[in-house]
Amino acid sequence: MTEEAIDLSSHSSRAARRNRIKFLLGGSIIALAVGYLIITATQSTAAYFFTIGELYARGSAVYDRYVRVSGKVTHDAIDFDARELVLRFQIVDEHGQRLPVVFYGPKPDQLRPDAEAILEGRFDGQLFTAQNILLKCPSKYEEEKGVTEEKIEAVR
Amino acid sequence: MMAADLGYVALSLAFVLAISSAVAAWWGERRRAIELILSARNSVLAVAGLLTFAIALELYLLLSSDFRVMYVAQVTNRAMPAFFKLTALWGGQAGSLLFWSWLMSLFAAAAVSGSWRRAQILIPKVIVVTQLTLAFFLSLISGVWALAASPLRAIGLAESASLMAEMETLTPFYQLGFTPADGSGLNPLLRHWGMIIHPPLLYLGFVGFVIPFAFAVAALSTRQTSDVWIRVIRRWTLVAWLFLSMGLLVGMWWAYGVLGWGGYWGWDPVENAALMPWLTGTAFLHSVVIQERRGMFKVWNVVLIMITYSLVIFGTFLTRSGVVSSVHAFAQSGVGPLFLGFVAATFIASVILLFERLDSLRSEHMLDSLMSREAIFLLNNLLFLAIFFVTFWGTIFPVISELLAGQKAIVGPPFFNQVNGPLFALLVLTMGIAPLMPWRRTSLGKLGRLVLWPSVAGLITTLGLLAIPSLRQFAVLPSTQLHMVPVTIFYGLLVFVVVVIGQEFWRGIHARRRTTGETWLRALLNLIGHNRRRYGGYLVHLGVVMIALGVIGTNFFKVETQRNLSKGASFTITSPLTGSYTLTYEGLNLHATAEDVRRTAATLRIAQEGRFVGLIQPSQDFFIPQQQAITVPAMRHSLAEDLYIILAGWEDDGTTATFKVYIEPLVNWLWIGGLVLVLGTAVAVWPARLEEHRTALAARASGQPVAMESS
Repeated sequence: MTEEAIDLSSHSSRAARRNRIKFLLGGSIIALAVGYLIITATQSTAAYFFTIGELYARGSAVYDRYVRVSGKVTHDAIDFDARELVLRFQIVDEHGQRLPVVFYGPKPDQLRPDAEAILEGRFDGQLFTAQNILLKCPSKYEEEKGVTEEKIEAVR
Repeated sequence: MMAADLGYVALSLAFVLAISSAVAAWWGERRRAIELILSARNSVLAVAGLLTFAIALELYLLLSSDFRVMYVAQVTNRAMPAFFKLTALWGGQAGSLLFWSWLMSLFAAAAVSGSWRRAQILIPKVIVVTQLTLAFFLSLISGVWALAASPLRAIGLAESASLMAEMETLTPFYQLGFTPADGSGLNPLLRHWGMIIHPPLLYLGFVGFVIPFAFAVAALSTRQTSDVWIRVIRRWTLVAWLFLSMGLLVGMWWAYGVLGWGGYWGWDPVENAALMPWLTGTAFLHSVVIQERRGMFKVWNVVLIMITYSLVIFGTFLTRSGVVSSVHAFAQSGVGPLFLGFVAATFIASVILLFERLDSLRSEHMLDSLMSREAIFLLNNLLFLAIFFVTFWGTIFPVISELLAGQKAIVGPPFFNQVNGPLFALLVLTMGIAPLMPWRRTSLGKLGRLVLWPSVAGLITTLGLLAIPSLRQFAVLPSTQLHMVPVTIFYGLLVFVVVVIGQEFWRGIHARRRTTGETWLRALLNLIGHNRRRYGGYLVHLGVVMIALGVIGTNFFKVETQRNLSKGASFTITSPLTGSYTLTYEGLNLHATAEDVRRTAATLRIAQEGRFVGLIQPSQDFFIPQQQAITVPAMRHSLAEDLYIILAGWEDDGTTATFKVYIEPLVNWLWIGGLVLVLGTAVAVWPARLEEHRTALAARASGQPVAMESS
């Protein structure tokens, strides 16, 4: 009986319209809130993704900003202090521009000459201090999920 | 070279048959020619047969180390054990696409023959959709695109022409002009069972979602948009979802146990690619219940499954095109543009179809009230879609920013955590409330009574946790008290959900015992057995709660440090949950663990609260043929936490060594929760007994909602 009563009332068009407005309102509030979250979080966390050339070209404008830069690990010595976990190496872009890198943390297994490196961290004009290293090995193995990629975070 | 040639022929034949089957089904439906449709169905079966044959050939080539076949040389070498040679089938691009196609063909064959009687009117379009999808994948690995090279060159598009010509090498049967002495072998990181079963599980999930999409398209185009298609695909969807969930979990487990960075999820584009269809698929799984029960959300459901399908294809594309992690890789292979083209074409086509059929998707009811289960389900769906959108936005942000601002930029894990974290918390809340909400409408007072005890329990948890001073200092985010608040709220929500679920079980058992006089255990088993979907669903929710427990624990209370130790020296690390560990470095030793692997292992003594509890050996394996070192983390598991140690470096003789040590609070609840989730889904998927089926049908026919059955 009560079922029926509710049924009748819910089909009255005024109630339906009121409900629809309520739902649209609720939906828009959610959408706006999510949009707001996305925008603010994007602004506060986005980092530029540079090539080495772009990084140098930007000069002091990007000093001490968290950025991402990519290049190939050079054939120069990869210097790793296993005691203090200080790793020094260089990366180079296709135009031959080099970037010296320091990373405080364990040496990634896949770090070797010619590995494609994506680094996240800060540049002070001389030296890039990496927080994060993402490596892809030379195409000896084929790409598959996680296979040739390695990601290591700095400890300090 | 017989086998490789045969394989090539089988793939080409399968490609032609898939297309002709789609055409025959389409034409047969238009002309109402049943013999055409029958022949289309037979072609579907034949394609599955041909691809099974192709798979057998590929396995034979892999096993026999026929390195003249490029794929075999890429993913195997002579030293590999036979088992790994077989699993190398999905260890590379060409093989995994073949594997994908094979699964697709089997699923299509099963769907077409399984639903032949139940949903005959839908079958032709199901054939069209599945076979066209399959044909696209087969076109990538059968070398057809290479045929486009010379016409393209003829009209002056040299660059596209060479891209297409390269596609030839993507066949898993492509033969080199010479026979290499040995292959490159599988990456050592892959020699782990987690990585062996992870891709097949994901593919099963991905491919599984193509079937519901095919039925949705068929239902739309034939205007059979009642709930027949929803019923046919219900089990398919759940099974696909189960495999996708398992694939994600196993991937996380592997990343945690093998990669040695102390984490399991990095919001990497590749991970997101698998998560996104899971999110929209989970939303779909929930909202179809509303269509079944109330005939509502019809457009919404179709939209969800369309998005899920596109995401499945997009995900397959994202994982192999390299478009996101480095845009440079985009132009290197013809696969990227082709995939993107296919995703765009199918998406646009389905949207057009949807708009043409909007009139047949009218809702049978209106939402009655915000205070109803329908409304909560809608909210749950919005949240899933919001999380999907956030993930999508973050994943393609490099592309967006380059298009809009001319400078590539990225967002990392902090972005995803900041935005998705609160959304996940809200989702947990809806997960708790939904089972309590009556259909159609209820009053605040009634709802209040229903949620009273769960809310009290949740609140006590939150306040109790806030009161523990020792917990505060471990909040990893800048350690102000403020950050404890969201964590404790989250834990309060989890307790809320658990109490709701417990209450539901208790009520059910109690009712059974009163009417049947069964024992507790019997009543519990019968309760689940007679309402599999409902109580299976609760088990899944329980699993999700456990997973959330682990996720929050590891995100907020993880402890990490690094130490350089001389032989005999020790240091202490304090855990947020179980007191302190004292680790003493005993020494280093080198030994062979396999013919081609040398292991350097450090031995540490572990004392907990001063009492010796065991030894632990973090190590590094050196794979001689690949000249590659792999760090092998060592773990000491408990329900409270993992002690996770990495050997980061050592001075040659081992007099000192450097360790990275993590404490991962509650991490094992992730895996336990995963198992519970799988178990719950299995319960829900298990075919119901015939009599229940009849009762449900009878109840439906009489227009009465089935009181006991629910999500």
